[in-house]
Amino acid sequence: MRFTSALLSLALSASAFAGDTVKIGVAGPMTGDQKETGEQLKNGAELAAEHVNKAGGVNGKKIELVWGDDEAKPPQAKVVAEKFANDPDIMLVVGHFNSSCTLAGQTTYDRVGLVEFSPASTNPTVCEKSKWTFRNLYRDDFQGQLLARVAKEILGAKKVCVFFDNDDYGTGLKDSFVGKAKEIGLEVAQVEAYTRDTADFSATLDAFNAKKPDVIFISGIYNSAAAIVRQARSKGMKAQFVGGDGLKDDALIKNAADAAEGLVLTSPFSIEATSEKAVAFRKAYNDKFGRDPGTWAAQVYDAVMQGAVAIKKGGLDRTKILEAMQAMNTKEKGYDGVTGVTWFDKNGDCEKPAFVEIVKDGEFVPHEKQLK
Amino acid sequence: MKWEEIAPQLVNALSLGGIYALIAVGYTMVYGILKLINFAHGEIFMSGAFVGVIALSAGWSLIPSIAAACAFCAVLGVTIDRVAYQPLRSAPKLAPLITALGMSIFLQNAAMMVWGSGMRPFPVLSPKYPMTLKKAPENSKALIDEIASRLEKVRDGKYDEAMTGLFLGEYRVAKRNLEEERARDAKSAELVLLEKRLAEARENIPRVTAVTRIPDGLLVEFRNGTGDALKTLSDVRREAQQALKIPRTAVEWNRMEVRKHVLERGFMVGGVEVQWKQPLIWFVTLALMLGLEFMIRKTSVGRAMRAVALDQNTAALMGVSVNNIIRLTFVIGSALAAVGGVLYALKLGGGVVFTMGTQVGVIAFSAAVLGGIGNIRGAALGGLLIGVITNLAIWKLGEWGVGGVYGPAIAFLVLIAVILVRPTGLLGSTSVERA
Repeated sequence: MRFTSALLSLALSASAFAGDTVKIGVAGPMTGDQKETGEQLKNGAELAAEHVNKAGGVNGKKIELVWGDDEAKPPQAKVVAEKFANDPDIMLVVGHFNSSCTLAGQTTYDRVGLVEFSPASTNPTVCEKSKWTFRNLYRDDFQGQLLARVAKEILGAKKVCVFFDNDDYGTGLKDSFVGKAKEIGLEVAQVEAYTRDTADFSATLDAFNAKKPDVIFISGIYNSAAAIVRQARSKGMKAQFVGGDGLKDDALIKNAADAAEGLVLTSPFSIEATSEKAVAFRKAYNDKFGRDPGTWAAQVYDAVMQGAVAIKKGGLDRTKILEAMQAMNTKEKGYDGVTGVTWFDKNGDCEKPAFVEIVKDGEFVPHEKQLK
Repeated sequence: MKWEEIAPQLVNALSLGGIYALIAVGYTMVYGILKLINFAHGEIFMSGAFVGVIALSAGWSLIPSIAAACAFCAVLGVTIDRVAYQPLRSAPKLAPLITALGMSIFLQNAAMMVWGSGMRPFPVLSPKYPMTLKKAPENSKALIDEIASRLEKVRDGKYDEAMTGLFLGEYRVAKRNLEEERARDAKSAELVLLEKRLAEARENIPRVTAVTRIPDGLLVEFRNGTGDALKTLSDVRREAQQALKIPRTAVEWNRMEVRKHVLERGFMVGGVEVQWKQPLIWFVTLALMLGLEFMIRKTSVGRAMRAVALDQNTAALMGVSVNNIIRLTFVIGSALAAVGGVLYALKLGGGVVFTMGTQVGVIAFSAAVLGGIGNIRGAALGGLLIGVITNLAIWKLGEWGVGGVYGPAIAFLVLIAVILVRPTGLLGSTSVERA
């Protein structure tokens, strides 16, 4: 008996000796054409790790972040996923950012059994395919429907054209937008795709312009969107532009200059419209990085914080961490963070609001009208 | 099909075609002389676009910017030849092809490291007039007098004088001051009158609605009265313009707000707005092509080039400095690609990315093949055709619901069809005259 307990204590001390840190993988586009977003991811995650560690860490261990750069490219996301999955010290992954990347990494995480917690992927199918995948924001079927209503109810549009990025995010968001638009009686004059490689949008924009739409909905990421609005305005097009949360990055405003002015978009997070916690977060972020946090910094911050809670409950066991995540299945058991309360349904999806914002004087500000 | 729909598409198509032609010529010239596909040519085009955009952003005007891009790319082109191709002149043809690919990858990564991986936005060319924001006068009466005097100036048509004195939130300041004074002396007849005048001013004076900090000053926006906040900038401008009853042509208004750069303005043709930059692109392309054609056909340098293309050894025996001619070919081809790059950036108006050379390079190379590689007129024709076909295909496929995203595929289908029927390309021949 004595011997067994000695052995047990030896085993315990050995596992404690294995490392004083708990590793969390953070995956997203750290370089490449969406590196501006990657910077937000990094900063948000760093701040979260700092806060957790300052408060004593997770079960006495400090959080160590491991970066995984997927360059916003699915094949690269797969590489990152394999790296994370095969590192036994990594207990949870916060990421990926783009829906296509989250889906590309998913098969690996699902096979090996590692929680993949996306702070940004909104494609409707992301969480359905694996019990290991979670997210802390709304789905695109919700966002797209909301945007269709924004076009009609806030902007008073009658005729819309849709320009979408031909990836999982752009296509999913476009589908739900178009579905809802038709349902509420908006005329969808033309729906067109583009790819990340597209630089010249002239032909399609001219075709849209000939149809005289009230609203052009861009279902894609900020880089292409900046080029699209810039080219449209330089052609003298007057249509109102509307976009999803993929457009929400300061680089949109920087690259589009005053062509971005008046653009209306949705966002999962709006400091002015949410809690005191959000304001405190902005201050902490500003103190550390000397600038205001973007939406994605807040989303990642919450994801790392919530991940830390799950690790605290589950210990250093990937399956137990999954169970801890799954147990956050009501509002009361959810995690109350900067972006609101996050709790999961059986798929790992969550129910969170979207805010309507507008670009005004070169800044994203909450729109004076919000939809319920 | 309506004219309003076709015209903008044709305008675009011609510009795109012209730009492709400029780049295709570079591929075809190098091939004509060295029998080498210069895969780094797309990267030269990209570098040209970057240098042009950087120069324009620094406030250079268009022609010096293009010249800078040309100079940079000419040096780059010659350097590429010296480093990657010249040592392999007598090597098997496959060797320089591989170094060309390597050069392309190297240049792309170098561009990423030097110029960054994000998009470099195309600058707003319009000059921005800096505007001093004055402090509101302490005294309400003085403030309202000033508003009233400016209102007079607006009525007299002296917009410049009237507007340059405007400052953000002046109405609010005046109102608050008045309220404070009224609190002290509620019965003052003078204050009642001032209030009336202020209310009148509020209706009539274009007020500052937005002040944006821009690199070279402040961009100030005006609006009349209270309006729906949800309007695009151009709407706000138009409203303010209408409220002030300034004719569209009035330079005063432009001077006040932003005098649009000629390349950001357009003109109307049969109800269709054409941007000035489009005919500029056609003109520059055409002029360069004619100049090149003249040089090749009529000058002694051109004759030397044709001789080197025909037979390097014989040309050398005839006293032609083969290496100098090759260098010159790279200089001309690269400079043309640089012009193409700057014009492409101008046409897009969005911005440039370090990866932009790949796709455009492949398309321009295809254009050279379509026209008959080694043949300069062919490259021009091929570029024009590919540009027009791509553009029209994007438009029509979108119209038919197939998806404009497949537009470039149609251009390649045409290319394949032509090559199957005429393996030498449209103007290519198996005869000896090349370059």
